Amino acid sequence: MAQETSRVAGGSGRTQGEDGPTRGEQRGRRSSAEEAPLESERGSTTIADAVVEKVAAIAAREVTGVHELGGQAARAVGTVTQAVGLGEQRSQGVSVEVGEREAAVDLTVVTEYGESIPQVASAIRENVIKRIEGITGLSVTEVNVTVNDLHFPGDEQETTRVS
Amino acid sequence: MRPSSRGHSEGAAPARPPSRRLQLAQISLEAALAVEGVVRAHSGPGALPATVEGSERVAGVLVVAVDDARYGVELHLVTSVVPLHPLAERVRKQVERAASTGGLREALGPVDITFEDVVEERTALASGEAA
Repeated sequence: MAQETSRVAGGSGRTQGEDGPTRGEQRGRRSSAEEAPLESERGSTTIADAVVEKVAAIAAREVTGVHELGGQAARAVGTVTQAVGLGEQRSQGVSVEVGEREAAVDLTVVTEYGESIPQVASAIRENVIKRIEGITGLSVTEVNVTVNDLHFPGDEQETTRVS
Repeated sequence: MRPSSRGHSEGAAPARPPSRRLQLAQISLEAALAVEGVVRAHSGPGALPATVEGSERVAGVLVVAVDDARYGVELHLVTSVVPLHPLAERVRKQVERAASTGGLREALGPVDITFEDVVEERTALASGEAA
């Protein structure tokens, strides 16, 4: 089971080994607690960060070769919170920074063993950009993909047997 | 002249008719929920956003005066995973139409829409059934 983090470089983002993404800090992005209004004479439209996160998560899950989202800790916490009805796992492994017109996305994924990681990362990037731009109208500047584990078929059974 | 919620009450007078502010909240929310793609109103942690008047509470919509004659409407919505800006326009139009029908068009100011969350199709259906 791959434990180390792998980030792979690609068109609108990267997937290579190292800590946080090197985002442009001065892009006029807002903090994750804020929201991005689009003003018009008849009112404004605001899309909460949670929406962008969820769209990114859904888009990533649609890609063949993605087994799950989130690092080990996030998945463990997600499983527990979901089991006790305190939350859902939909957006685990996703973090976004959203500005007035742009968004950048960091994704942590578990891929299926045997799939090409660069290809999966590229497909994730493409689908996430397509979905976010289509649904929210935001322009996606980066999709950084971290592959932090591989899934082997039968992993779950083994875990069950041991425990 | 700001629409007033103050009514004339003496002793155990009959319930006051709802203010234009409350009516706008009810009409706006009803109109928004009728738009395809809108799943439900969002009521966040705590009591807000909501329009409250007496014992009446309309969750997910906040109606506040923006000038002497008009009220701004803030809708907080949970939707399906659909393009959000066209949806916002449809909601706005529907609210304007409903306000006109209800004789409240003059009182309606800007309609601000916040998409608080999205739900996938299955969840949306379950949510609709539960409602």
